[in-house]
Amino acid sequence: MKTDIKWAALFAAVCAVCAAVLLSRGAADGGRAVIRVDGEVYSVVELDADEPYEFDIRTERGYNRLRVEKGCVSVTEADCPDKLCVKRGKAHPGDLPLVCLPHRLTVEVGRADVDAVAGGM
Amino acid sequence: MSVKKITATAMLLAAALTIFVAEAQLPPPVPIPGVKLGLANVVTLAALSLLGRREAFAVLLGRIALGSIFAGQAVSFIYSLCGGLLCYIVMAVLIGPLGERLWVVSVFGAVAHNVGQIAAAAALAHSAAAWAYLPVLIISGVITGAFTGLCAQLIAKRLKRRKTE
Repeated sequence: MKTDIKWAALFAAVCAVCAAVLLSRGAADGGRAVIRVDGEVYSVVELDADEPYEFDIRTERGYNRLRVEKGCVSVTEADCPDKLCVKRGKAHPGDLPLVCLPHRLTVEVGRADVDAVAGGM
Repeated sequence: MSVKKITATAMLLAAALTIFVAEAQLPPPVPIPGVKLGLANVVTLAALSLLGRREAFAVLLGRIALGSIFAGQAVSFIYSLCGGLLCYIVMAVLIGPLGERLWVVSVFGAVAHNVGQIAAAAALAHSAAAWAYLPVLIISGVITGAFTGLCAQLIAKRLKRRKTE
């Protein structure tokens, strides 16, 4: 029993180290947003800006104003009828994508390097 | 191998395969690729403890080959094989000194399994980016390994008692 507890403590320590590595990396890597219109990639934005900035995505269906901050992205203005994309608020890496259905716009937010690799595991 | 041992190995393989296929139908507990309970490893561990290294190897290989045919895709076969082999090697070595503590053997095996899977993913994708998953899969390996190991420990204890009665 005593030996069991020793092993458990060792494993818990290993887990703690791993968790610390994960947390520190999460802070360093802001992530990346892939913006698609109608399923086609419109542009890819790194979420590492020190100063937040905004830009418009204009298509024949209307416009969405995107606000890019360190580690997150949001839609601040749009001329779509339901404004669900604006109400949605900020999206961080790992969240569900921002979607503006009337304008067929999606913004997927993920980590810069790892999310594409392990699909089949 | 005696007939009794061959039969016992075949029974354990059938049990492992059933558990593997049943688990593949369940939704994954966390939405991270590569994280799963690995319940079939309970049987590999029990075989390792009750029958021996050779028999456990047969159970493992048979389960991976047949399991991929019944429940997986070609890619998952490569992941399973790399993970399973590394897991087996580690457990087969540790079962000697740590035979009484199957759950410790199981934790090391589960972590080795996940390392093997990442190695396979990194090799298949020609990219080291898969290694970024290592901390997540170590944590999940420790948790799932402890759980499956405790199950195997209980099963092995009971079956051993029955064998001596």
